Amino acid sequence: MAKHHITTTINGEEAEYLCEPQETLLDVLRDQVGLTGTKEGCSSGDCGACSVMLDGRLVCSCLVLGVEAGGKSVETIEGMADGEDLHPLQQKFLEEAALQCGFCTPGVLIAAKALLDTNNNPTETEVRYWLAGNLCRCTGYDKIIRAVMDTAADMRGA
Amino acid sequence: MVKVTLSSGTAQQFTNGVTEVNVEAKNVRQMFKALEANFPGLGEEIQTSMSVAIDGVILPDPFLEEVTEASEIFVLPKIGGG
Amino acid sequence: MNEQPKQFKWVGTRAIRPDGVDKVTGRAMYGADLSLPGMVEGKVVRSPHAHARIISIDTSKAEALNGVTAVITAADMPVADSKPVASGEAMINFKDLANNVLAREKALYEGQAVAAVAAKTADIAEQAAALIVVNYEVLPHVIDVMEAIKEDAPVLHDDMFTGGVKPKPEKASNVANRVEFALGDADAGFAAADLVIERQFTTEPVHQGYIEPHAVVADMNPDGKVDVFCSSQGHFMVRAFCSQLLHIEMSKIKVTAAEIGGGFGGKTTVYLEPLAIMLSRKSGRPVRMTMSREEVFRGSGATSGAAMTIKMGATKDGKITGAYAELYLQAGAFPGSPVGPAAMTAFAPYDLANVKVVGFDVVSNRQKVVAYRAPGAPISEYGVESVVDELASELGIDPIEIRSMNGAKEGTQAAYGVKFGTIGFQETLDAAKATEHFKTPLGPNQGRGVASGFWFNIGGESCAGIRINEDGSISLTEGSPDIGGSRASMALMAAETLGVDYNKIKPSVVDTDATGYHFVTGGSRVTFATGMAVVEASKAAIDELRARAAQIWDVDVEGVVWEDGHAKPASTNVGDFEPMSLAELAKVANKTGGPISGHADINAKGAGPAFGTHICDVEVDPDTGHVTVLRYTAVQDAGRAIHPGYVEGQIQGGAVQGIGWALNEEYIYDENGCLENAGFLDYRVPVASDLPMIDAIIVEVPNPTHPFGVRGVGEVPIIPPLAAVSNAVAAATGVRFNRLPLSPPTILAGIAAKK
Ligand code: FES
Ligand code: FES
Repeated sequence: MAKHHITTTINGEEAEYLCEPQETLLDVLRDQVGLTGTKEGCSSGDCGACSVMLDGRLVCSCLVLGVEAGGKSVETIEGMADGEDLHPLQQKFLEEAALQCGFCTPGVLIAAKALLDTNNNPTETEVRYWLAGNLCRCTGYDKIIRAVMDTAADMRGA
Repeated sequence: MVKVTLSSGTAQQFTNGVTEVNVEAKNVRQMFKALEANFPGLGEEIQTSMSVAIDGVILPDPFLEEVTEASEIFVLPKIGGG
Repeated sequence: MNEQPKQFKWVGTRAIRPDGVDKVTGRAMYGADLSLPGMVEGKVVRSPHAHARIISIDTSKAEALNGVTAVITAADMPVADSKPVASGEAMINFKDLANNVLAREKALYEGQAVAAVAAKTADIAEQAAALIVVNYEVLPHVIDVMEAIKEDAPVLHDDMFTGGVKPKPEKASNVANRVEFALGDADAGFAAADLVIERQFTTEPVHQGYIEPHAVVADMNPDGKVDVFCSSQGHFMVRAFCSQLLHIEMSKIKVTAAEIGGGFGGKTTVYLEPLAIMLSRKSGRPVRMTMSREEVFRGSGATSGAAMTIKMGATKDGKITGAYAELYLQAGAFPGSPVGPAAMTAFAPYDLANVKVVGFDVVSNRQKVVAYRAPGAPISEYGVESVVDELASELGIDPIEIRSMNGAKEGTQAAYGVKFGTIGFQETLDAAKATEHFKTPLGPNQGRGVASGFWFNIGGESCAGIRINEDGSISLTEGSPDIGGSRASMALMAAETLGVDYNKIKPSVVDTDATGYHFVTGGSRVTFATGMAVVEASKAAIDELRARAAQIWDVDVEGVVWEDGHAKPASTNVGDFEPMSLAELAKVANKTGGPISGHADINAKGAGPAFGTHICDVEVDPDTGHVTVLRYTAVQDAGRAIHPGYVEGQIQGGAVQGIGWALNEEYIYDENGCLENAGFLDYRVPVASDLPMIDAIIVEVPNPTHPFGVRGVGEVPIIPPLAAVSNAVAAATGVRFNRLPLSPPTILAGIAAKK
């Protein structure tokens, strides 16, 4: 089958890859582009470990085809920190022990950032529903929810 | 003489249901030997697939630990965990 | 939460974990994240039948497919002996393990591996897998534990005779083993009771549900050396099992621990690893294998479904006089359910003179169960804690009070024999009783449940190395895969012992060539046992540092003490020397004998038993049967919390897994014995919007055998929620369901039956 040549922007940099028509964006990111920070937990849209931003929209990259990213901009966990400066959410997750195994963490961070980018004062319920698509089996969510709310509070205060 | 307490299940298999057995031993290794001599199969069974608790401390791989008349010795299954 | 006593500088602080930045930036390498040059992808062919004889396997079409590099079946694997071998603390029957990894004569569950292929791409591997033709003779199957013990049930293994009974049965059956523990005379205990309650309970099979599917990369060289990179709870376990299964010397297998995306006991065995090695041997290339989520649900992990009878008697004033339990646990396709620990833990929280527990290990056509947090204990303690709750409410006694009154204390003999040393059960009850939560009034359709839990905790083999670098920084090596922040705990204990800055210590989980045997990360042992090794290694390094200072000062080593990260003269008699810091001693190590290090290789003994008490508030919607958890408090004796943040995290995460077990999670099989809900959409683990905050309260009753008092934390918190939730639902609805999960249809039916 002929591969498609795709040009896109990943974490602010222009990127190109060849992909099969049926290949998901998740597989492309992990196997072609070498960005393995985006995780696969189910490949059916149920766990959120593969969350990325596609043209500013939060998506499960396992439900998006690699070819669909053509001409669009993709943001992954690898682009979240600014060089050595962690994003406030990343920093807060470390300070508040909001990760245990860390496998859900990239997806949770991407999703949480998408929330805070549009709403810097979410209620606990809003955070819980926003993150309901990101499964975490280790933490019981408590510290994740707190870290997101505390980051929002810091960002409002800053 | 040291007193070794078996679970009722283990006792039914090896000692006709007697849960407390006394053997001559100064350490666990000798205890296994004596148990095996008195109740064929028992010493071997404990050594290969069970734990021994001495004075409240569960030992998965006991061998050279000293035992005395005052020791409280229990035999129990091995414990793993998640 | 208790603040730490002041005598510690590092232990008890909420330090940033050393592997943290890698994990929040996507750099950390998990099992599926490694690619090697020339690597091919492996894929497993699985049985579509719950029970079937394998008549033949035709791999020729798959082998002929362009891009396929290897195809394997059980015929490629050495035949294993059926004799159980002690492996770590578990008894492993390698014949069963081999069959579980790759079925030989029969497929015993849907999803069991029967063949595997490797090909240049995952797509080709998938096509090749579809081309493998397996000819099955489908056999009758049995899933449910009580069905499986029936006289006329299909028998899985015709050479299996119930163990633990005398005389040996004449007929093969699905009952693999019987265990029994008794103390005093249970019947006499019931005779002395004013109230006796006997109930039957069932729980359904559940999966550990780690978010990272199993994944491995294996690379076998032509000279027979193997490199394995995989996500597991013990890379030494992987080495030992692969060595046994494939007849490769241990020294030829190097296993590197990938970061692990959750395990909860489910990654304490091998599935893909031996297959990947065999495929790599045949392909002459590195092979990567990953499970899909569906494969994870069908073919890996999971714990027993169970049925049990619990009978308890008490006097009018609440003293429990007798207790009896009969437990039946599914083992899955091969013997080895956690019925032993289920039986031992059942009544362990209580001081009972007359108690008897009988347990049965029952095989059925499901995947072989594997450890899941405190294996067995959530099941049996669910039944017991439900009956204790019913006793309390029938007798009009507060649920915490009845537990305090009967609770185990130092010196109490547990039904499984052992007398407890210093334990903190009463302290968890007192702390629970003192919470504002316990005193807050409830509204209509709401109920509150209380339950406690016990787990032994374990020790086992661990090693640690402390290397003091020339600049005074410290490399700490150990071999327990870090599943939830243990590198931080190790570095904290080393910093405390050595008296140096936590940030000067870099802990690493090193490969199987670089350190000695470690038992798996499980049983709540790492902070205890590996922590003990770290403290001993640090002490060995301190002895070396003191010796070096003694040389420099030209005094006896006894004249040098180690305080606050410095060598100091023990007294003014020794001489008037300026204290030397660790960094200063490191700088001149070349002049005093070379590099400075400390090592410890131990088999840790004296793990401290741990208890927890949980309080749960629910609201039940009488129209839909939906249960909302309104508020949750989990109290636990941690002995000592080395890193309170990660201790709380363990407690919260365990509690939520228990809530999932109680409310939503279950394996659902169709009439053919095939799993109907092998995905996160239909196997519903708790999501963020299902839950309230989980208040974790750490109680610290130090374990006297650990240098800092650690008991271990990870197992206990999954035990109490099953009964805490269902006791709360009983309080809210007035109905005792005595079965899990408490899904809406169950609740609605129960409410309707009451009316
Ligand atoms: S991998 Fe995409 S949602 Fe799970
Ligand atoms: S930290 Fe392990 S899944 Fe979230």
